Amino acid sequence: MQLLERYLNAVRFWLPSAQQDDIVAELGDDLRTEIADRESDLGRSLNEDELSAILKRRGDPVRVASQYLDLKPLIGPTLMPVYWFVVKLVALWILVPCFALIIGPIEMARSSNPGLAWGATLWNLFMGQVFTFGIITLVFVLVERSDAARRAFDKSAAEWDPRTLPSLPASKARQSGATPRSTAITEIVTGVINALAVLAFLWSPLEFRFDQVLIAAAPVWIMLRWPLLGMGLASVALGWFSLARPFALRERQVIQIVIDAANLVLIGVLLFAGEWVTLHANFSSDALVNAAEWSNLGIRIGLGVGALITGYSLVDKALSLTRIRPRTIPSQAL
Amino acid sequence: MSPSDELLDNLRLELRRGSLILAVMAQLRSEQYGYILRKSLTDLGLDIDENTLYPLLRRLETQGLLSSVWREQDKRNKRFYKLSPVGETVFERLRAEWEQLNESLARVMDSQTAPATGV
Repeated sequence: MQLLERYLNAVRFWLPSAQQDDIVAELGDDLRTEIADRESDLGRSLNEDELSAILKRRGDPVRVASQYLDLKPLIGPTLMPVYWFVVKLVALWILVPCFALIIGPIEMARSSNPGLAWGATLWNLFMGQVFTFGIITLVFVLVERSDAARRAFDKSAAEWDPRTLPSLPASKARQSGATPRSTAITEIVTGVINALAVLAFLWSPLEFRFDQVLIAAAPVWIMLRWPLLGMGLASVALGWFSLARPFALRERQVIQIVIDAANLVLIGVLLFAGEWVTLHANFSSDALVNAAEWSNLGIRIGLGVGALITGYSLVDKALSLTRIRPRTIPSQAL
Repeated sequence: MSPSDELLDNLRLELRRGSLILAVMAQLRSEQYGYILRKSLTDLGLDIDENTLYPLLRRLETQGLLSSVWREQDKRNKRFYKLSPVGETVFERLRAEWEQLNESLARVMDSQTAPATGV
């Protein structure tokens, strides 16, 4: 019967310590009774193979012990959607852009080996995500087990009022058939502001003087003034179009795709220039050189973010174009 | 095992889960120990795995529906279970609930198999 005792000992290992003796005693009695019945049927003692077959049928010790555990999920079904939203938000939409657009370029600028710098950045991003995932999970586990939090959720569920739900976003409002007026007006206003800014600042060389330092915009800005002005005016035109024809969703989407594509090209040309700000002074100084480098680095990052946002917008609009059905006039009933 | 067999097994488990509790409580209106309880349920057509039965008995006891006592029988210590007074009350209510559920389910099944009548 040593095999039986070994089996019971293996089950005991995985049981909660307070209940080990009780559970193993009952389990042992059940197995001994089954063995005794079998031996009575056979008229002899069981051999090791037969005993092993009984224990094998009973199941792996871990599995047997797990049936006695009062298992609760770490994070319950109520909190789970919120948990996943927070994890995705932090891991994808905060950490990745931070590392890709800020920390990575900074490390690359400071390092003599850009490849190694990016490798280190990727590793740090991975470790950051692991750490963040762990902290978020821990917080949600604690909330799940907090009586105060549970009472707060129950209270919120009981007092919930559908009228307090947030308004539809503009994209969903479009699915109801029309471009919101607010969207069109926003486009007009921002287009006008952009166009005025181009006319005010880029129609002649842009320079600022601080004390003995002259800060000048690079020639690429002047070179692109007409396309930049065009982008501002295109936004105004789109806004007027949407006000005049709010239900022309497909046409509007096509225009937006063209504008986004043009924006992307402009950003690409700007990025290719490599230098957007120059600093001049009657004296030479490392601090001046560094300031110029950091300024251009900041603009590079901003342009990179702009490229990502514009690229995402372009893809999103192209995909949503497939979901917008052409409006059809319903046929009259006979 | 094909995906549909696996699905059927999972659904059967779901279907049996609540019924097993009622069956165990019904049998424990008289005192029994685990091995005999399992055998009597099997003889009555309700197979129950030992790894399901014993944790279920412990859970029902923790919930106050069963009481247990260790006693020597056939030169071995065995744990005997029986419905507690609370358990008896809960069992009767569960039984009524189950009978009502059975009737409702029978009506649902009959309504689906009844021939459609046209106007």
